[in-house]
Amino acid sequence: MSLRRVLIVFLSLIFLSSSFLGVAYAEKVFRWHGSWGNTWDLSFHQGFIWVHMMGLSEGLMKWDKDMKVVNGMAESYTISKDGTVYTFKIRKDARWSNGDKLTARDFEFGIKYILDPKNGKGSFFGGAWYIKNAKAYAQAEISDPNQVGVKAIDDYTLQITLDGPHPDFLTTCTLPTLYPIHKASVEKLGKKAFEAGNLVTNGPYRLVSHTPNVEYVLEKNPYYYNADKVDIDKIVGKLGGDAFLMYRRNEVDLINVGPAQLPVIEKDPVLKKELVVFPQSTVNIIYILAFDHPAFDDIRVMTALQKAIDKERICKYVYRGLAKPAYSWVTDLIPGSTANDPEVIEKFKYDPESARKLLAEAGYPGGKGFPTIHFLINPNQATDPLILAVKSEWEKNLGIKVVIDNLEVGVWSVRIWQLHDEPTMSFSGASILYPDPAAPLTLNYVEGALGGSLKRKDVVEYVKLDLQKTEALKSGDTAKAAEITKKQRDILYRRSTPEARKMLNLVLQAQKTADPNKRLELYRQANKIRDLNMYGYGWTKPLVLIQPMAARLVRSNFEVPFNKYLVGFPVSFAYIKTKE
Amino acid sequence: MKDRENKKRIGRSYWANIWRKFKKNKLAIFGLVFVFILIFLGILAPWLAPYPYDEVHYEAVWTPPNRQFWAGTDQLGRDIFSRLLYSLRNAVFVGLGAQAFITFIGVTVGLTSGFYGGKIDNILMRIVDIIYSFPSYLLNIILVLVLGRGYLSIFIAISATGWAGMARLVRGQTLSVKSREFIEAARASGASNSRIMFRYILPNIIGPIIYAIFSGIPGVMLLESGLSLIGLGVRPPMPSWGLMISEATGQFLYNPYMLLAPAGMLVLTLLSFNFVAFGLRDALSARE
Amino acid sequence: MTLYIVKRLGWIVFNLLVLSLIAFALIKSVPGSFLELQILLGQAGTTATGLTVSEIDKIKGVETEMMKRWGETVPLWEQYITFIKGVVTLNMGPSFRWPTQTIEEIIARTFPVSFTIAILAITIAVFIGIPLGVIAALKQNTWIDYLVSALVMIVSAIPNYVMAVFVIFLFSFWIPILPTYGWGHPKNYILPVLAMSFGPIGSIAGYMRTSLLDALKQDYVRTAWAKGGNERYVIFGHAMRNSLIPLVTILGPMISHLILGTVFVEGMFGVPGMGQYFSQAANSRDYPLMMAQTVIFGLILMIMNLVVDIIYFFLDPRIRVSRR
Repeated sequence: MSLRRVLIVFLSLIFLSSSFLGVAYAEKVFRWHGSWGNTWDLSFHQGFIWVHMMGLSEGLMKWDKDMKVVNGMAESYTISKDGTVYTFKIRKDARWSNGDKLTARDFEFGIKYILDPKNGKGSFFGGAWYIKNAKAYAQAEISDPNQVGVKAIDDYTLQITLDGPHPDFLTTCTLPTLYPIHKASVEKLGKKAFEAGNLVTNGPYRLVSHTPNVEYVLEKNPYYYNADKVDIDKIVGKLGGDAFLMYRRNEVDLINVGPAQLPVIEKDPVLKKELVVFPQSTVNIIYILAFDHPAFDDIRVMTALQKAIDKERICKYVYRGLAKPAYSWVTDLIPGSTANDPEVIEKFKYDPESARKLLAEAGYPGGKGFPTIHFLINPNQATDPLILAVKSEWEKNLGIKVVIDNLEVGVWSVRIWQLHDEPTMSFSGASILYPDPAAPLTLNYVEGALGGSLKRKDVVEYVKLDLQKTEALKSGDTAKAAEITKKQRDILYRRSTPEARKMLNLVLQAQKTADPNKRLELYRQANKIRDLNMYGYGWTKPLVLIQPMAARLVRSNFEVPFNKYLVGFPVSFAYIKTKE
Repeated sequence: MKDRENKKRIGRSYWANIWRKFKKNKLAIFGLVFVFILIFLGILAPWLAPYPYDEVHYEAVWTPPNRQFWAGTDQLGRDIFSRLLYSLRNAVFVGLGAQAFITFIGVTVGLTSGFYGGKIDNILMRIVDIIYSFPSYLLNIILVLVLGRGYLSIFIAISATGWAGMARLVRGQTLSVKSREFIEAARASGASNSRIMFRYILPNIIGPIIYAIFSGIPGVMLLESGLSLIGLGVRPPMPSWGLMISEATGQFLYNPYMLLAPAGMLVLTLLSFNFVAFGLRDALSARE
Repeated sequence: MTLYIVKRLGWIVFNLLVLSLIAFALIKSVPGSFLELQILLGQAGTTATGLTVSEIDKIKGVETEMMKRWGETVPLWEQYITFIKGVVTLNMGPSFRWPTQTIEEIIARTFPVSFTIAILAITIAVFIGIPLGVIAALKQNTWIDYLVSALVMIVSAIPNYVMAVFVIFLFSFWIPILPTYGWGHPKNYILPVLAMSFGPIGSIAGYMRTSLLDALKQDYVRTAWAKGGNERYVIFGHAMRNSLIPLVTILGPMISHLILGTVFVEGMFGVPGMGQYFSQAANSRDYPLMMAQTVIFGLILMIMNLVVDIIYFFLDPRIRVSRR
């Protein structure tokens, strides 16, 4: 063999092998279509900041693929005898995405930063509310963050003191309200620390770039302690465009779909296989706003309204089977739920005859004399078929008149808190973010539910006091505000029914119970009372409608475990992998 | 006496000329006929529509056109054909209404400015200049936000910046007619200023004004559909083409008629007004 | 000439002040505040578990940096002055909705994008619209005129957001050669520019047609034509050139309106431009951004008009004699 030949064979071998190597080392990219919020700043923790949760950050605890709570950044923890002091030991190999060591001080800083009322305004504080003085600090009743029960004893020990024994506290440590924030960045850069390019996080991925309204890109965090178990190298989130179109053009790998796309999906064999449907913990509800009409003091009227909605039919036609009727706003995904309790279902299931009878008994036979009901809708809900369906059911079955007020978003946000002359309602989705019975029955909620039997004029008084309180707070008069809060609490207790008080007692008892089964049973009883009497929060009684299912299209070469509580996000981007 | 006769003769041949030239343009005639048909359909929509525009049939969502629903149904099972008729009514109402506001304000300002000249002219034209330089679409959005969503507020929002163009046009036209002899004559015979403006000048410049009206209406309709596309137009469930289009764009691949129906009607309506304007433009420019 | 420009610039500043005052007054009268909305929209999903009205009110009572600049704690006129100072020094503070970005950054980043798309769309429209207008003019009232005019009018009557859907369907689906969404690559420009260009094609073609018809009816053209011979074509060329000049007057405003009108198209194609920001800002009551954008758009409009007037001045000797 001549030298030339040898060279050719040698070079072609290298070429061939390198192309194989190229195939083996091809970057694994996962693209999904999702919405985003306004900022990567953790203190604005609502809605979309859960992207943090799924890939960018990790808390003391985390969820594994099967939604079990396991250790995250904390390698161990101890709980004090009375259940109020948690001591966490932070992993020694925990690092930030820029290589810095992660310490307990970052956790203390992060939690206090999120609670600080001068920072962003989140709407859901979850487990953070359990921490001693956290609520007071977040609501500006106290101003010294050192009084909040979070302390870094040393670099690797974090001590959290709660205001009582809360067995679900560990679960709430998985949520973004208790995440660490890179102290050095924020001290150096202030708000700019939360921009792409500066953002330092501690989770399996790091933020590489973010083009607003277009897309963001995440890459594997090489300093993550489990980096070699993370399969996907790059994650791209697309923030606009038509999702279904993009999926069919193979521009994204995971999208939400709704009833609209079902017919097309069913006809296409490939899409049909890629469809994933699962129940989620959201329930669509109607909530009653503040108005002054005696009709709604009568539980028979409320029951009639519930019984007049044919939820089966709505689920079948409007949602094409992608929803099921709901009778409790706590779905059966939450332990202790009474969603399938036969007594509750029997009381509120569809029965137009009985509904009409109830309405007549309450003094409005055939809907005569009944006031016009108004629905206040914002543009996000304007295309929701559920609303029109409910309207047509009520008009058809009860003979009452329903008007839908489609308001622009800002106007809506102002109007729903006002005092109305005629019965006014609005729509919402209610989700419970982690699977523990304490989640839907926080003390706050239950105390508010005591007002579930308020008469209209009590509601009017309550709302008027609220408006006074705003004025007081604006002028800085916190003493007056506290006084008004006390007056409001008196109003709530004024008309609390025996059932409501029983519910409160059950919850208080459950909070002190150590035995998990007993605890669950107590919560279940409390749930049942709430569902049977349609208690809501304050006066906002909810009329429960349906539980929509989540439907996603996922490309078949990816394995994505879904989170049913964070309304259908992947449990964590870290668990997404390509199928072999 | 003689002036009156002269004016009459001028008047007749002026209009006859225009009509003659207009007739030559087949597209324009077609457009004119269509405009009348559309206005007629729009006014009679509540009686012609087979279904109310918000009646839900949710056993029949997203059906393609069939015997029962001539243009199919949308995501709530509402009859698209009926909604089209009501949107037409809506569009005609908004188009003509807002344009009427614009014309009224613009003609008044333009006539006054051109006729009186001097300081009044200066000030009024300054104002027109300022308004011209505003980003009108943004201001429309803000105005609708402030005034709420009703017909009146849409009229006000659209005409608040739209009258400037009309005013400029009318002023220019007024200036060119102002120096004609019959105006002198009318003044000599003791006619008051407003009488001269409205009885003598206006009829002679009505041609370009009509052209401006016809070519302005499509603009107004597009503006309104643009507003309802982002959720600031007429309040749902009263349908509007913009709203129907925004609900349908996501569905285009699987239910194309949902988009094609309102888009088609919108285009057809705009076209007919455009054709008329097209014919008028030719007919009027030849006159100059 | 320079005097004219200086005078115009002075007027621009004055107009901008008036515009900013009006916009400020209007924006302040819009119901709903940013804070309420953010909390509400985030809260809507947790009404049953989350805050009561009282808690929202409490949060409202707490001042943040943002509210100090724009909130009810500072008198209105002071807010306005702060805003004007900010515009002049190009230091307008962070936007409400994007708290980690300042407004100057947002505008500096998004304006070139919208501008590029508008310019590209106009260029295409000019290159297609002018020949079409010429054809229609030359064959006035024949079937060719009708065909061309009708086609042009039909296509430009379709609003650009509908056109966007058609164009996506056509070039991304039916003939899958272009991406539906994304940014950063030259081929991402094609579809949005295409969708935006049809409207201007209609206007330009129509205007060209009228303009050319007018030019052809001038006495000097008719005489040359009647005389016959080679001069015909030379004069014809003059007429063509002259008819192009009035076109310049509509190009300026057209570009400005295109920049504004990209709102819908941007959302569909994922174009990170200014239009998207404005409608989001309006919906979320992001006052700083709304104010800044209104003023910036006004400024662009006025500068465009000025540039166009200057170009026109140099192109058309008749104008130099009589001003406005």
